[in-house]
Amino acid sequence: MKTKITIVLVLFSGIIFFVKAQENNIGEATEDIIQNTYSVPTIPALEVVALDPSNISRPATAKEFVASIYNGIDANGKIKQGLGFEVKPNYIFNEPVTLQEYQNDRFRYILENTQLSIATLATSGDSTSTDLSWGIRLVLFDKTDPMQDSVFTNKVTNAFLKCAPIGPGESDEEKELKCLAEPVKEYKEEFIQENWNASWLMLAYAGGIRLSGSELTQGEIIGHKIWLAGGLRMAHWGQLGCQAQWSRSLKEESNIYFSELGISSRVTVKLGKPTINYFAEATFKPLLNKDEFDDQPEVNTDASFAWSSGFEFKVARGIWATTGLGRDAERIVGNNNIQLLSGFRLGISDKQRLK
Amino acid sequence: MSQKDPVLNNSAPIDWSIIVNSVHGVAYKLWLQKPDSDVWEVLLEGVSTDQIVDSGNFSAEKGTKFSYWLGIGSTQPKSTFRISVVLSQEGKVLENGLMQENGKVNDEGVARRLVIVTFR
Repeated sequence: MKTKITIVLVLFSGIIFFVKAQENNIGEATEDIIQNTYSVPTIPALEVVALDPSNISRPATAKEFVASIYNGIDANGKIKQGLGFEVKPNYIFNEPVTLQEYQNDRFRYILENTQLSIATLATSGDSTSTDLSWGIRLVLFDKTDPMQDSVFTNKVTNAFLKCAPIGPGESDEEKELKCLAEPVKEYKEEFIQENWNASWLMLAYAGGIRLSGSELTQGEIIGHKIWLAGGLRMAHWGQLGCQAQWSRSLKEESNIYFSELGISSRVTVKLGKPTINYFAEATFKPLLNKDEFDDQPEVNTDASFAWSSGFEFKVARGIWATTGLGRDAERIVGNNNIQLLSGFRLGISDKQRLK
Repeated sequence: MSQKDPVLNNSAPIDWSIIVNSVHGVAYKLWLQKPDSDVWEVLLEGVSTDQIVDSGNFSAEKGTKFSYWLGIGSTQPKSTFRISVVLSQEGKVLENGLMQENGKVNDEGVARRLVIVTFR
């Protein structure tokens, strides 16, 4: 009975989300329909150290970067806690990428889209020690990015010309900025309507170390993670997303390293409006170091298949509500029932915000 | 950012060029105003994203005013743009002739610059 009530509540919530979704601006919705968990993390270092993303600083020059590093170490040579940096290497090494290079040179495109991240946080249960993590994120190609399309950029800049004042003495900055923003928004929405399911491929890595007493020389590795994710266009109506993830991480409760591999695929089908999708996901994630758990019957070493299916509705810019059914590959024996899914997931419309 | 007045070396034509060193599209409009006139004459308008070079030349004497307007855009809000407007004579950049426009576009992905300088 309890399960039936829950199902009704979840479906009811889904209907509400759907209605709200339809009220949203359709054009805005297309911006982050290129979403889902089938991506790589926007800030990989935060996947190892759970720092609040709002604490991340983004130095844009070598000088700012060096100052950030300098400020991250105290007078006793110990690393400070609660720090986060996200940098673009080509900014630090003063290697600017032009729009023409971005559109025509694959290496320069990857360089422009490469981001390095570093984060520190007090170790859970030991405030004198620090967890330090680092990460790198690369976009190998992304055809959903309007800036790499010369037709798009040419249309936008030509539209900008009508925003220029007749003469320097007749300029109105506020009016001009408003005028400039219009073609960016209009052509971007048009581009994403046509390319929401275009192909892309990204790679990311993150690692972490526990620094005893926050000393840089007293470290123990707490984990590594690698992600490879991509999307493949399926005609005009859908996208096949794939993600491979490998991790070796220290579980706090057992102090044992879990080595896991996850291979996931997902089909997203646009249901008419860009504010509602149907999705079906399947994940294979075997435990790689099974032998190390032979004497621990509570750990289910064979659970390796997870699936889910349902609907997702856009409820706000960058936020999608999900409802459906699924089963995870539970590592703890006894937790292998089909479960109702309901919750929110974030879009990745900010995936290249560092440009 | 305010720019300093460029210093002419001689009476040779002045070469101008606009260089965009970031992933942004730029539209520009250039004007000249003669020393004894109140009228701004359009020198050229163009965009950085086409196949036409963003450079040229004009003649000017001391006291001539030069103005440029830049409309800058990207799909990435708050992204950093790096643009240079360069004025030179006979292959040599004028004193104060390298005018750098660095900054960030706003939340809507756009920025605009308007500069007026007087040749000395």
